Amino acid sequence: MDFQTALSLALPLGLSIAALGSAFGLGRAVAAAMDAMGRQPEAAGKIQTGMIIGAALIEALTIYALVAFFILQGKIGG
Amino acid sequence: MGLEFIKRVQRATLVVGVLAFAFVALYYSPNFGLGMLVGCLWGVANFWALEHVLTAVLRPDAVDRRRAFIFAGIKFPVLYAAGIIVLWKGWFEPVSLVAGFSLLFLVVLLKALGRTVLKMDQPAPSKEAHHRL
Repeated sequence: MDFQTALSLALPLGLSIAALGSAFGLGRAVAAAMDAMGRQPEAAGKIQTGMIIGAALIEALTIYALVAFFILQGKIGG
Repeated sequence: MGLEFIKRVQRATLVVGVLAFAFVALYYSPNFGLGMLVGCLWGVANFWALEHVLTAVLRPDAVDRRRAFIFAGIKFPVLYAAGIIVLWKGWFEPVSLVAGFSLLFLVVLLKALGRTVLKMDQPAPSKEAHHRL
């Protein structure tokens, strides 16, 4: 298997793994936040803040993977 | 640490983004600086939309569906399409866009570190405890 073939196989696979991981992570984080808010509604503001920052960090990892995809895409089929 | 922390992070990131743009455009490359500014603006807009979607959905009382749909509509089709177009067209180096986008997380990290070092999240000592000391 040459470099081009390996890259064209690994790129979409890597991006989909990143998207899957992000989806699972966000799902778990939101479920935990809903659970915490149900137990302590008075702490909703603090829970929401932590949740928003966590969600942004999880989402950022997928965006980094997408940017890496765009950067490496140009090296396929050269 | 409430939702005002998020607003302060957004404002501080915009200031840092403009300063980084000026510095990089002057000393390195105007195109790279502009890419950083675009990445920073996209990141702040994305964070702002994410904040509104999550505060509309994650709340102790009823879900604000109208607000959730409006901000989800802004975030997913509009912002993501804009990001893909900017990356696809190749107007800026992807590294400059990523550097600008990462400024938001740098600001979050430094602000959180500052709060921890200055012990801002701990309750203030009561007067009795103060007298005892």
